[in-house]
Parts: sequence; C-alpha cells; structure tokens
Amino acid sequence: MQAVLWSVLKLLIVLTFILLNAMLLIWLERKVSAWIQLRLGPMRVGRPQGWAQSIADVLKLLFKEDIVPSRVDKVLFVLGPIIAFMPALMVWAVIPFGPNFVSADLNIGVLYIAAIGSIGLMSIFTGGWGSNNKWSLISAMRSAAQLFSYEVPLVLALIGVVMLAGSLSLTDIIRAQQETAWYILYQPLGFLVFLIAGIAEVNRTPFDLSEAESELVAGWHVEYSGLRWAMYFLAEYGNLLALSALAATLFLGGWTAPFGLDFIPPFVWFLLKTYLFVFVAMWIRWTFPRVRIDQLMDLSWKFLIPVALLNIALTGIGITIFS
Amino acid sequence: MSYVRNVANVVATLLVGLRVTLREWFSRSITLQYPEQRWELPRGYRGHPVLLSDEEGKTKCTACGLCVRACPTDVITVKGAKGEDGKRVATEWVLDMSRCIQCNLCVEACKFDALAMSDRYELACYRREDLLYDMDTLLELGRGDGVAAITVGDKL
Amino acid sequence: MTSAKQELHREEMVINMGPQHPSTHGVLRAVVTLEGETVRGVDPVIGYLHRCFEKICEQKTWTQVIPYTDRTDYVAALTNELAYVLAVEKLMGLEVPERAQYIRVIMAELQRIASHLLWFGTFGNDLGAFTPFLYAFRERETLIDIFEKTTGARLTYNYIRLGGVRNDLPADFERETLAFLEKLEKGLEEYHNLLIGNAIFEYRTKGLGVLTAEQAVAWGASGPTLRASGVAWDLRKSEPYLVYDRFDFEVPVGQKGDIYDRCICRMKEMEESAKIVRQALEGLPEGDVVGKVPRVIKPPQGQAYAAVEAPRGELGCFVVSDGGIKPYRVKWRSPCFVHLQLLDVIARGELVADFIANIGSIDIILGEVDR
Repeated sequence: MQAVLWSVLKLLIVLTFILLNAMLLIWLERKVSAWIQLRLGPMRVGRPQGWAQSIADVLKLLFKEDIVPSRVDKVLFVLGPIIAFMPALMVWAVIPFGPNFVSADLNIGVLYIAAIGSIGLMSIFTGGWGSNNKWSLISAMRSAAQLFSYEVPLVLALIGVVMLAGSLSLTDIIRAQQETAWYILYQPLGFLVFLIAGIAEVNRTPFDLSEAESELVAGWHVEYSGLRWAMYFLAEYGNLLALSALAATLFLGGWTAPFGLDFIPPFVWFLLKTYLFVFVAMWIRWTFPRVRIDQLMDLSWKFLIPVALLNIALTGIGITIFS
Repeated sequence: MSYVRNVANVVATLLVGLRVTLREWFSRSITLQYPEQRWELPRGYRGHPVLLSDEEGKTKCTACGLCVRACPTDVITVKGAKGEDGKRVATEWVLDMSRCIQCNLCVEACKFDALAMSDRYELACYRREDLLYDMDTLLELGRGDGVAAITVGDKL
Repeated sequence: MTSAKQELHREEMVINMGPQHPSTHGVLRAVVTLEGETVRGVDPVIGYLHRCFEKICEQKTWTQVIPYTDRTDYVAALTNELAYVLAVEKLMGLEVPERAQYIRVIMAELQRIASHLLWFGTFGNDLGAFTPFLYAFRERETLIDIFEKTTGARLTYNYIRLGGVRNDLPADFERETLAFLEKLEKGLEEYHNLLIGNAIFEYRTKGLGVLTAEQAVAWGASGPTLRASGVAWDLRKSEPYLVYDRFDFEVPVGQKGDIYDRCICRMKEMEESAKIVRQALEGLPEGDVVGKVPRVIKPPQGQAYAAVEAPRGELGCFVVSDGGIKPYRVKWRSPCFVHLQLLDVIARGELVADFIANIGSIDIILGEVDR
C-alpha cells in the first residue's frame, strides 16, 4: 500500500514539476530572446521582470472560447493536443532527479525514451491533418519527414553512451559516469549529433520547419486556439525540458556534483545542468535563420547519420583498446 | 578533404553568429518603458495644429481662410465676424483631428502667425466627437509648451 | 504488376498566401500553385492597399500632393517626395539653391539607408532569423530620430518642397549624422557576422531566385534587383539628377542575379550611401534652402517626367499640367509594381521556403504597388 502511495506521490511531483517548469521555460524564452534582441521582454505582469506572465497567459487561454472549426476532423483535432502532452510527460518516468529519486528505473530506459520520442510526431500529424487546412497539411507532412529522419541520428548518438555504460538504464549510465567522467568528454561527436538532432526533434529554429511562422503561418496549430493551443505550446516546452534533462543525464553526468561540490544537493545539480542545455537551445534559436526542408534532410542523412555511425565505430575501437 | 574543410567553414560561420548574440545578450537593452519613461521630442515635432494667441489671450486668427484652402484633407472649419474694433476675428475654428494628417501646410499658409504645431501625440479618445477640437481647446493647447511654428525656409 | 506510379494520386494544390500572412510584407495576396512543396505558379493579386493616389492628386493643389506622395512607399517617403517635386520643378523651370540640393541628396541617401535597414530586418525575418530585425531597427531608430529632428515627423516627412526643402538642417545635424554613420559601420559588420555571412543564410539564398540580366531588362526591373543581375544601371550615375555627379561613389553590381546577390547589393549600397552622405556633408554650401517660388503654384501647360533612384529602383513621376492650380494628371512609375511581376519568373520551380525568400529579396512595399 505504502509503495503504491509513494509512486503516486512521485508521479504527482513529477507532473507538477514539468508543468511549472514548462511555464517557467516559456517565460525564460521570452526573457532570453528579449535580452538577446536588446529588449526587456515581459515586465508588467508580476514584478520583478514580469515573472507571472506565463501564469497570466495560461489563465487567459483557459478562459478563451473553445473553437473547433466546422470542417475539421473532430476526433483527430481534439486528440492532437492530448497526444502532444503524452511523450513530454512520459519521458520523465525514467529520468532520475537524484540518487534514489526516479519514478520508474526501467532497465531499458534509453530504449523507452527513443520509443516515446516518436509519439510526438503523431500529435503534430494528427493535429495538422485533422485541421483540414492547407498550411497545417504541409506542416504535418514536413514534420513527418523531419521527425522520422531525426529519430535515426538521435538514437544512433545514444548508442555510443550505452556502449560505454554497458547498460540501458539511466541510473546506471549516471553511475557509470561517476566512475569515469562525463560522457561529453568521451563522446564529443555523439553529443554534437545529439544536440543537433535533439533540437530538430523538439522543432526549434533552425529546424522549426513544421511551425515555420514566416512560411506556414503557424504550421500544424494554425487552426488551434485557446486551451488546445496552450496544450501544444506547453508540450513544446515540456519536450524541450525533457530533451535537456536527457542531455544532462546522458552527457553531463545527471545529478552528479562536479569538482566535489557535494554540499549542493544532487537535485539542484540536475536542474542546473538541464537549464544549461535549455539556455544553449535558446541561444541557438535566436541566432540562426531556418534551414530549408531538403537541406534539413541532407543534414540528417548525409551528415549526422554518417557521423553518428563513425562515432559508434570509434567508441567500439576505443573500448576494445582501453579495456 | 574539401568536405571536411566545408564542414569546418560552416561551423566557423555559425560560431561567429553565436558570438554576436552572446555579446548582445549582455549589452544594455534599448527598450523605453512607455508610459513611465518618455522620449524627448525635438523642437518642431509635428503633432497637430493649434491656435496661438496674442498678449491678451485672444486669437490672432482673422478667419481669412488660407489654412482652409491649404489643407489637403479639408479638416479645418473657420467662421469669422467683425470684431468691436472693426477687424475680422475668428469666432469658430474647428479641427477635425480624425482626418488631420499633420502635414504642417496650414501653419505654412498662415500669414498672421496664428497657427503652430503642438507636440501632442497621445490623441486617442473614446468618442469620435472628441476628435473635433474647437477654438477654445486649440487656444489652450497653443499656450502650452512644445508649440512651434516652422514654415518654409526656416532655420531650426 | 500495375505500376505504383499510376496508382499514386497526384494533385496540384492551390494555396492562398495572404493578404493575412506573416511574410507578404503588407497585404500582398499570392495565389500559389504547389505540387508538394514545389511552386508551380505564382499569381500575385494586388489592390488591397489601393487608395486612389493618382486620382486624389488631381483633386489637390500642386503643393498638397506632396504629403500624399509620402504615403505611397511609406518606408522611403523622402524619395517619393523628391520624384514628384523634381517633376514639377522641371515643368515650372524652378531654380533650386545649391544648399537645398545638397540637403536633398543627404536626406535621400539617409532614407536609402533607413529603407535598406528595414529590408534587412524583414528579410532576416522571412528566413526565420528574428534577431537581426531588432538589431537593424536599433540603427534605424537613430536615423529616424535624425529625421524627426529635421522634418518634424518620423515617417511621413512632407519635407521636400517645390524649390527646395521645408527648413534648414538643425544645428547638430552634422555631428549626429556622422555619429550615426559610424554606428552603422559597426552595425553592418554585426549584420554580416550574424546573418549575411552565416552558412545557413548562404544555403538559403545562393543560386535561388535567379534573374538573368536579359530577363531583368526585359521585365523592366531596376534598382538593386536589376543591378544584382549584373547590369550597372543606377540613375544617380547614368542620368545624374540633383548634384549626384559631384560625388564619388560606386554602384555595387552582382553577378548571378540570385537572392544572395540582391542581398549583397543592398548591403553594399548602404556603405556607398554612407560615403555620399559624408561627402555631401563636407561640401555642404551655405545659403538659402528654398529658391524663388511663386505664391500660387501654376505650372505652365505641358508635361514632365522625373525619375529618381529610390531604394527599390527607378521611381518615376509623370505630371501633366493644364495650367491650373491642380495637376491634370500624376502618374507614378513604381519599381515595386514592376518587381512584383517578377515573382512568377524567379520563384517557379523552387520550394515554398524559397518563395518567401524571393518575396523578401525583391523588397516590395505594397503601399507603392497599389498606391
């Protein structure tokens, strides 16, 4: 009984954690983009620095009229935002926040994440197709091609890490890193591929082709408004956070404290590393122009996948030599 | 080999871009927090025409109608009558701010220095009728700061 | 075995881009035929910003037309005024004092810089890079402040008058302008580092939207759009007006006529404009800013055409007078209208994303297209 309660409690904690963080991320994105662009960003709602802006926005969106356009495929249209949220939440089940703080320490954690990640595509596709709008149709097709192509290098980049750690469990991977060093040092190529493919996975500039505001207006969520749109929006940031947490876990040693700074709790270290990656993603987003769809494909199939394969080969050679 | 050089080149240009944004990230923002902070308007800023008054506080306008003819959007209505001293004075001078394009042509047309441009720029109001500025309002605004009459050939 | 190709249902999709679309630069509506993501045809629909400019001019006196010209190409209002005023002055044979001519050149070139800065920002936006927009506007803001001090307005200046300009330059104009030009130099370097020199930018623009020199001439392109194709035609050099023949500047020319060349041409033009402004400020003579102008403007019967090198190309103004106080006819030859027709030529066969880049690269202002 106690075990059940404990896991329910852990689940609730994780859920609130994600939602709060997603909102924080939205605020942060606005602030970071503003700082980069010589602006101030939100300043009015909540002082200092307009911290309550996201809360106000979510409240506003909650109270908006729920519009389902008459010509849409209702089932798909309603289903889209719900599916969008699923992978962003489910990934967190296996991500360890601290030494003994993980919802479900699956022994196939990495595999599970790779599988869950693909669901994100479904939400964009159902939403884009169900909207019965030409813009969102193009967007859905683009994102299908994009996410499908980038799953491959993403998973290939993870293989190097798994080879080093000898386990698919995320907790084991962190422990393995504690024994040696952070895997970003052993796997710079793998990290690069993971970074690029990851940013493409979560649809951010320069790979935000399915949203592509200047081309496709808003992409797959062009017909969405109110709460449904808010769910897509929160899911986008939930995904970013999940990706960052994954990067922190796999390449930056998760909750491990660096340089023997043990007095800071592991949970804080985990968050710090996650947010480091978030900042990098934001920095990249507000610097580069968007690539084109065929260039995106080229990048994946002609550059990332060969590099990822090379990385696997090098890792294999390295393991054979040094062990 | 050229492939590797190409990749290196691409990465280099991307890093240069990242450096620019990183530097601006920590530079000062240029946002002005309107309405708490306001910018300084230069002399001669063209808000909208106002009426100038003489020492006694009466209008200098003689209702000659030059401004009415100069106005490209026909927003000025003037009526005049003979005053006590026999000279013509304006009794009514209405500006329809909803159509005024703030072009300064009326000020340039006026031969009696009765018109100037004010530097008001917050012109929003709730009712369309409020955009009809009558003579008293315009005279009052003409006594305020930031009023300048710049005509053709002036030095600033 | 039935071929898979036969069973595959193929269909062209007609998509309505605009008038409400983030990248149509105002209210352009383009009916685009797509096959997948490939553009098979573009049909620009215009008229959403039509304000009867030419007809209104016939109802206004010769002076009253000037503020209306501001509102055609609202990004470069000063050059519009210049085209109209030059045409009327030609008709009347008005003498313009030297100082006024220099001021006109300075203002026109500063206006070119302001307009190109705005183009740079929005073009970055079209490509999905949002940050350059703000950086470009930082510089443009300084420039607009200078305009505000000089003309009293930030966008619709109504500054250039028949026989000269409205008022003299403010006292610290020279200092502020030179400070701005220095700032611009730094800005241009930053834009290059951030966007123009970026590898993604090159991939998105090189070899796309190609307009050959023959096509460009045949379609009547002008300005940077023409020069990018390798035709060194600049009215300031080839048919100098005002005092442009006294200044030393170059006309940047591209080679391939692709989007990238058009961008580079504009970026270099800003540097050249800065050069001209520096020279003009140095040689600025003393004197009046308005010549002798009759009280009532009544040009003699006849017609005149004057063209200026506006930021977007050859901006021509044709005026006909019947000897009255109002123009009999004002015809506007706007570069954007011509360039808009090029869309189908340059964008056909490319992807949707390139189509957006193409719209951005010809730098259209719908206010001028529709008028």
